[in-house]
This record gives sequence, structure tokens and C-alpha cells, in this order.
Amino acid sequence: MASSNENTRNQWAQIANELADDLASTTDEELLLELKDDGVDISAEATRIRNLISGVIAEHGKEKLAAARSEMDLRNRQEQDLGIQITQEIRSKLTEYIKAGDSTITGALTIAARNGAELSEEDLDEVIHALFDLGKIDEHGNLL
Amino acid sequence: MRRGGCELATESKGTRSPVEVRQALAGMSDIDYVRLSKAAKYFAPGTSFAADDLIQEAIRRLLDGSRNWPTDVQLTTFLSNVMKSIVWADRRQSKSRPLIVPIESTGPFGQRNNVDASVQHSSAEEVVLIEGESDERINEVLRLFEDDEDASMVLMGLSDEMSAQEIRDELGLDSTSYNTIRRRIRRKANKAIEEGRLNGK
Repeated sequence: MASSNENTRNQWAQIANELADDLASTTDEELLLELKDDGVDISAEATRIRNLISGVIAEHGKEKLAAARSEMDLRNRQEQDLGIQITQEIRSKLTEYIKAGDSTITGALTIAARNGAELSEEDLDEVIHALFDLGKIDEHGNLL
Repeated sequence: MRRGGCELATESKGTRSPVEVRQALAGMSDIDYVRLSKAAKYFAPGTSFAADDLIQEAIRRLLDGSRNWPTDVQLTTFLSNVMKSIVWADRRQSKSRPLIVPIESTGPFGQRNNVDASVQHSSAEEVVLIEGESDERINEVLRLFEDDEDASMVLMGLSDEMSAQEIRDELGLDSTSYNTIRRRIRRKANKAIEEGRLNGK
């Protein structure tokens, strides 16, 4: 059996629904007259509600941005996990391939490098990433 | 004739897109904002929400897509319906919770309302009334219409959870007569709410 409080809530809900329905059927012109008659400061109340809603919109925007950044961070981490972890051993292997003039490798090198200019460690790492992405080497630096 | 809503440059079938929602929210008039505020003040009493919280929650649900705004419904009417559904769900969850109303309430005879504790929700100051005073708000509304027999009868019908149609049938009222009485009730209730007597915020 419903408690007294529950009955009261339900009773008020019925009244509130009817009040809201009547409000919805009130034209803007009628409502304007009503508010003036009731001495409501329309501008002040409108400003208050406008600011309330603006706050919700701003908060929603921040939450969306934070969620998008989290998703991006997760995606980046996943991509990194799938990437090749460059070790000195892999660098050594690739240096040998280059010295040997392996055709798989020379295609990934800059013209300067093909002409024998020394590759910096950073350049070598870039080549290794490129070759891995192209499927030319596996994660251990072995030619495929 | 504009009735409770704002106009959009374009409309799509079904429900409004996120762009249309943002456009509509930005295009609300002063009357739209006040209309929303009034609806919230009607729905909030007896729930765990303050009126402003109800508005915020309704907007939140519109923005996050958990409620979709049909193209054939005015924005303020839609938001009013969202608030109605929010408080309906709140009532279902609160069956055993004591009645919660804003702090400024005093009894109709000038006595202070006793309070047990302050309770949870958001920005409004809310206190819990002891159970014996739980019918006070309904009684306050009925007292407003002591000299208005038609309004009293309609309110009693609503308090007994009769539908508008059932009340009309019972009292022999046509739609126009019923709507006239309903309008009179709302106008008087407005004043009581603005004065804090019905605890709308």
C-alpha cells in the first residue's frame, strides 16, 4: 500500500501535469501579459535561466572534448604497442643490410643515404619504422 | 502565432540533429526561458530536484542524445516533457523517501516546519519534513481556492489522480470550461509559487 508521502507526491504530480499542460497551451502573448500582471521581471528571470543553460552547454562541451582526447590517447597507445620497438640490435641489422646494398632497403633510403652518406640514428630509426609499416621487415628487424 | 517554442531556419524529418539542437538553444527568446522556468517550478516540488536542477538535467539529456527532440514538437514543450519524465522516474525511485521541499516553507498557520536533516541534491537548500506534515503543500493549494468551488472540485479530482477527461465527465464540464478553470488554477498557483508558498524554486 502506498505511503502518505507517496500519495502526496502522486497528487502533486497530477496537479503539476495539468499546470504544465495549461502552460503549453498558453500563447507567448498571453504569457507575456500574465507575467506582467504577476510582476515578474521577465528580463532578469530569462537571464538567469539563459546563464543556467549556457553553463550546461559549456560543461557538455568540455566533457565531449575530454572524451575525444581520451579516445585519441588510447588509440595512440594502441598504435604504439603495435609498432616496432627499435633496439640497438635492430639498428645493427639494418646497417648491415644497407652496407650490403639490399634492394629492399635501398628503396626506403633518401638519395643522399643511397650515395653512402652516413645516416644518423634518428634517420635510421625513421627508415626502420617505414620498412616495418611497409611490411618489409618484422618486429625483430629481419627481412621479410 | 508562436506558442511555446522557437523557430529554426531548417527542419529535418524525425528528430532534430545536434546542430539544430544547438541552434535552437541559442535562439531561445526571453519568454521561452521563463516558460521553461515556470514548468520546472511546477514539476520540482515533491522530488529530489530543485527547479533549476530539473532544467539543467533536461538540457543535459537533450545534448547528450539520451532524449531526442522530435521535429514536430516545440522546444519548450519538449523540454517540459523531459522534465516530466525525469520527475516521474524520480518518484518511482523515492517511494520510501520522506518528502523533500525547499527550506523556506513555514506552515499555513505560521508555525515553523520541523526538520530532520538536510538532504543531498545539488544547488537548492533542501530539508526533509517530518512525515506528519507531508500533506501540507496539497492543502496549501486547496486553501488558495476555498472560495472557488469549480477550481476546488477540479483540484480534488486531480488529487484523487483522476484524469482531466474523468474530471470533466464527473463535473459535466466541456473542454472550454475545464480549460478556463485550469487556467484560473494555474494563475493563482503562479502567485503562490513566486511568493514561495508552494515551494517552487
